[in-house]
Amino acid sequence: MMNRLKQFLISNSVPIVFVGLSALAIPISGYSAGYLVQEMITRLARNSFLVLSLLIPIMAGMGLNFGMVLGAMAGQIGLIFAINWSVVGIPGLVLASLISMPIAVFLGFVCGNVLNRAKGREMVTSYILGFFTNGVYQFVVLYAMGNILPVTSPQLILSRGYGIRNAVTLTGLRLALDRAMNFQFKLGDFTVNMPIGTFLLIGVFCLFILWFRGTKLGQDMRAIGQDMAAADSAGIAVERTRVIAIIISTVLAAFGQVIFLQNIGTMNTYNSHEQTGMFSIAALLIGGATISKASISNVFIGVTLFHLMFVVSPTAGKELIGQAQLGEYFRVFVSYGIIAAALVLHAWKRLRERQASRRGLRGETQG
Amino acid sequence: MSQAPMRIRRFIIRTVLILLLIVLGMAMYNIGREYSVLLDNGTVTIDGREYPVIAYGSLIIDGDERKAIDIWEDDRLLQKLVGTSHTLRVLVLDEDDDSAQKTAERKIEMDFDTREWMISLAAIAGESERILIPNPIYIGEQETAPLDDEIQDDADGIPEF
Amino acid sequence: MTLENVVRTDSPPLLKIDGVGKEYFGNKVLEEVSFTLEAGEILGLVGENGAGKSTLMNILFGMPVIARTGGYTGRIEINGREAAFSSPFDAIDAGIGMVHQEFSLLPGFTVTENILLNRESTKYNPLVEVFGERIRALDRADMTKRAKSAISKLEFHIDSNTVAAEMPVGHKQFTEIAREISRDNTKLLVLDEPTAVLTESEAEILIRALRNLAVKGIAMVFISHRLEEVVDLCDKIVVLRDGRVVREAEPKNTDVYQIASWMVGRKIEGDHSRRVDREDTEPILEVSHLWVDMPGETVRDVSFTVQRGEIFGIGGLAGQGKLGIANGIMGLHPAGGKVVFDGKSIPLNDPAHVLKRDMAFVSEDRRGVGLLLDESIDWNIAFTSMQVQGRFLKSYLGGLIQWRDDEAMRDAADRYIELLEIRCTSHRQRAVELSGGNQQKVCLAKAFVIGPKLLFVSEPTRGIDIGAKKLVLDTLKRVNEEQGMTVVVTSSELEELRAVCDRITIVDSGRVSGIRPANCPAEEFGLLMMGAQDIAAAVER
Repeated sequence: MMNRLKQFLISNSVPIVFVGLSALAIPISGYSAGYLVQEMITRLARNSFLVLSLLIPIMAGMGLNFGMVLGAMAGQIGLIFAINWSVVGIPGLVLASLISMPIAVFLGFVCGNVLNRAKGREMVTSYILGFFTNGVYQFVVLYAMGNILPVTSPQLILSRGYGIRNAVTLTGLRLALDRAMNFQFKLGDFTVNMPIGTFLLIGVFCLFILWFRGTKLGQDMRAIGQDMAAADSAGIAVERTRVIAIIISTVLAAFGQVIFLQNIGTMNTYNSHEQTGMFSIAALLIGGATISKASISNVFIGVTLFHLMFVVSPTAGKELIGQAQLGEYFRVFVSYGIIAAALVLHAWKRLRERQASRRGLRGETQG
Repeated sequence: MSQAPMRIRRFIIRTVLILLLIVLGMAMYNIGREYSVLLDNGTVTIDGREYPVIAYGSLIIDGDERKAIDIWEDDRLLQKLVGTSHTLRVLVLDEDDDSAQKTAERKIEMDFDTREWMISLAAIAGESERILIPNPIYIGEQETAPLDDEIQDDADGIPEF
Repeated sequence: MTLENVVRTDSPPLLKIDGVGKEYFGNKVLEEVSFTLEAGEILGLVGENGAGKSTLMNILFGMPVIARTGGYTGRIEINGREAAFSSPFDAIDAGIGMVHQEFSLLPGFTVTENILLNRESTKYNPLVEVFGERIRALDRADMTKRAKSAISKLEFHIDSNTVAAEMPVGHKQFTEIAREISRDNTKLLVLDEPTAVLTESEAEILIRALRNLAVKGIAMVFISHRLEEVVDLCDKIVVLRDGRVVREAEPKNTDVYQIASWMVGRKIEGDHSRRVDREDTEPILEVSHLWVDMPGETVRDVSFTVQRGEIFGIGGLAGQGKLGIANGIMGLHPAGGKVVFDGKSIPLNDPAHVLKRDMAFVSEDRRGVGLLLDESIDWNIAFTSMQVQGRFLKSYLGGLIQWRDDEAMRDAADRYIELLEIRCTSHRQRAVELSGGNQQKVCLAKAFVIGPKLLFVSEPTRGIDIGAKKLVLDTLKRVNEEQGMTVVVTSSELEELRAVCDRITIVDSGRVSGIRPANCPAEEFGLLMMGAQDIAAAVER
C-alpha cells in the first residue's frame, strides 16, 4: 500500500509540484475564483488542440515532436491567405485550415523522412529542423509574399510593398470560433464565457485519438513505439508508419494553431509558431507526460496547471517583490526547465531500469 | 473481391473527396468574404435622371432591423458586408414622427470593385436601375497607405477590440 | 485430442535439406549438409558454437545476410518443392515459424497483441475507402479468440490479457511459440535454444507442450545445448561439427556422452605435459560471486581461485560469459562481487586502480580496446606503462616538467620486436598497418612491459594465422615459466586452453559449471560446456 502510494507520488511528481506551487501563488495573487476559472477555460480552449497534436508521435515512439512547429507555420500561412482575401468568421477559419492542410502534409512528410534518418534523436533533430524550416518560412513570408505570391492586402503587407507585417491583427477572424457557440454562466460576481464550439472540436479530436488507438495503424504505431526492431521483424512498415504519425501531428498542429490564433486575435508572424512548440511541450510535460508516454488527461491537466502558473505568477511576483515581469521570466524559465528536467528524468529512468535488470544478474546466493 | 475494381473505386472516392475539399474551400471563400462597401447619401444624377438626397432615413441591411442605421443628409457610410449577395432596404422617414414615407429594397451582388465604386442610397430610394457611382477617393491602382511604415515591434500586440 | 498418424512414406518429406553448403568469404562454414524431416517429427540439431547451426537456420529462414554474402549451394525442399526464400517473410508464408533465442515480444502489449502482432483481426469502416486498409479498427473479441486457440494448442494456460512486461520468462517463451503456431499454415517450427532462459520446471513444461504440438502434426527443428533435453524430446538427432553432419542418430541408440564426443570430435591431442604440481603455492587471485554486465557476455555468479604461478584457462561457449570475467575484473564493464588479489581486495569498476595493482589485460577487442591504431608500435607498447607507472618519462625541475623519453621507448620496442618476432618495418610503423597476428604481439608486449604479476589474456589467437598462434602461446608459456607471471587465458578454443593451461574452468550461462585439470578428456569439457554437470561429474567418478 505504502509502496503503491510512493510509486504514485514518484510518477506524478511534476504535476504535484505544480499543484503545490499554484496553491501557494493563488492566495498571494488575490485573484477571484471566477476570474481564474474564466482564464483557465479560455486557455484550455486556446491550447488544448495544439497540445493534443503531440500525442500521436509520442505513441509512435518519436518523442516530443518539435515538428509541430512546422504545422504551426502552415496554419499561419493559411491565416495570412484568409486575411488577404478578407474571408471572415468561421468560413475564414475553415478556409485557413484547408489552405494549411496541404502545406502541413508536405512539411510533415519532409520532417518524417528526415526523422527516419535520425532514429532515437527525434527531439533534437525536429528542433533543429524547426529552425531550418523557419528560415524557409521567413523567406516565403518576408520576401515571396507580395512579390511572388499574390498577397496584396495593406493590412498584411509592409509599406515597402512585399513581406508580411510582424503583428497582424486577425480582424474578422478573432474569436470567430469561440463566439460561435458561447455559453455564459455566473460564478460569484463573475460572468464566465464558455466557448462550446471550440470545446466540441477538442472533444472530437479526443475521440479521434481514442478511436485511432484502436485501429490497425494505431496498433502499429504503438508497436513501433515500444520496439522498432521487433515491429520491423513482424513486417510492419516502420518508416512509413513513422512518417504518417508525423504528418497527422503536423496537420493537426496546423489546425491547432488556427484555433490558437483566432482566440489571441493577433498573429506575431515571426514568433507565434516558435512559442507554440515550446509552450505546448512544456504544458504536456507538466501534465505528467514523459517522452515515451502521454495520455489525453496529461494534456488537460498540463494546460491547466501551466497556464494557472502563467496567470497567477505575475501578480504573485508583483505582490512579493514588486516585479510583474517576474511572471514572464518565470514562464520562459519554467518552459525550458521542465523540458530539460523531462529529458534528464527520462535518462534517469532508463538507467534505473538497466540497474534493476543488472540486479537480476547477481547469483541467487547473493542477497 | 478482386484488387483492381477496389483500387479504382478508392481512387475515385479519394479524388471526389479532394475535389469536395476544394469546393468547400471555394464555398467558404464566397460565404465568408468580407467586402468594405461605401454607401453614399447625396444627390446623384444617373442616366440623366436626378435622385435627390435623403434628408432623414434608415438603412436596414439583410433584414436585420435591430441594426438599422440612421441616414442623414450627405452621409457617407463604410459598411463591412460578409458574403456575396445582400439586400439593402432604404426607408425615407418623416423627421417628426419617424413614419416611413417611402420604402425601397434592393438586392446587390458583390461583383464590382468595392474600392472603385460607391452605392448611392438616393438611387436605391429612387429605385434607379443603376445604383453605383464612382468613388471620388479612389485614384487608380494606388491604395490608401497604411498608417505605419515599418514592422511593428509590438510583439504582444493587444487586440484592437 | 486426436492422434493423427503422420507417417506418410509415399509422399515427399516436409523438409529436405540436400547437400547444402555455404561459404563466407572463402571460409567454408557449411558443407554437404543433408537431412530430412517428416511432419510431426522433432529433429534435434546439436553442435558446438561455430559448427554451422545458425548459418543453416539463416539459410532455411531466408535471412538477407545469406544472399548478401553470396548465397548458398545445394537444395532445400519443402513438401517436395524447392524453397529458396529471399526474406523471412517468404519463409513464414511457406509455413516456417522461428522462435528466436532473444525475445521479440513488445513489453507493453498483452499476450493477445503480441501473438497477433501485425496479423490482427480488423473490421471494416467507411474511412478505409479514404485512408486505406490500415485505418481498419481492431476486432478485439476475435483477436482474443484467436490468441486463446493458439495458446490452447500448447496445452498451457496463460491469461491472454497479461502485459508481456509483467510475465515470467517461461510465459514469454510460450507466448513466442504461440505466436508462431497461431499462423494457420505453420508446419515447421524452428526453436533456437528455447530452454536456455527457462528454469528446469519451466523447461519440462515446454518440452511437454512441444510434444503435444508434434502430435498435432507440426514438425520441429530443436536447437539446444542441453543434450539431455534433446535426447528426451527428439525423434532424430543431427550432430554438426565444423559445418558437416558428423552423425545422424536416433536417441534410443545413443546417449548424452556419446553425442558430446561426436560434437567435440577427436581433435589433435595437444601436449599436456604441463603437470606442474603447485600444491605448495598460495592463491594470487580469489574471485567470489562476481557478476558482470557485459553485453552479450553476461556473468551471473562466478567464483574461482587462481594459484600463483599457474596458467589458468577460462573456456565455454560464445555468449555464456567467459569473456565477461576478465573485462569485469579489469573494470571495463559494470561489475559486482568480491575480488581479492595478492591478499588485498580490489575495487571493481576502476580500471586505473587495477592497472596500478600489477594486473594487465590483453583484450579480445584488439582494435578497439587494445591498440591506439594510428600510433606507432613504440608508442603503443609504452603507453599504458607511461600512464600508469610513469615510466618512459624524463623528469626536469624536480618533476615539475616531464618529457617523453623517446630513447627508452625505442629500446623497449626494439627488444619486444625481436623477442616476439613482430614483423614490421621499424618501431615507428603505425599499428593499423600490421597484420592481426603482429597486432596481437604488440598487445602482449604492451602488457609485458608493465611487468604484471597477473596477466589476463582474452582470445589471444582469434583471427591470427597458425604460425603466429604458436608463437603467442609459446610466449605466454615462456613468461609464465621464466618470470613466474600468473596468466589467465580466456579462449573459445578448448584445444588451445588444454595445450597451455594447468587448470581450466568452464563457464556456462554466466556460472562456473566446473574446474578441471587440463589433461581431462575433451568430452568431459564438452559436457561441461553443454551444462551437463551431473553427467560430467559422474563420468569423472
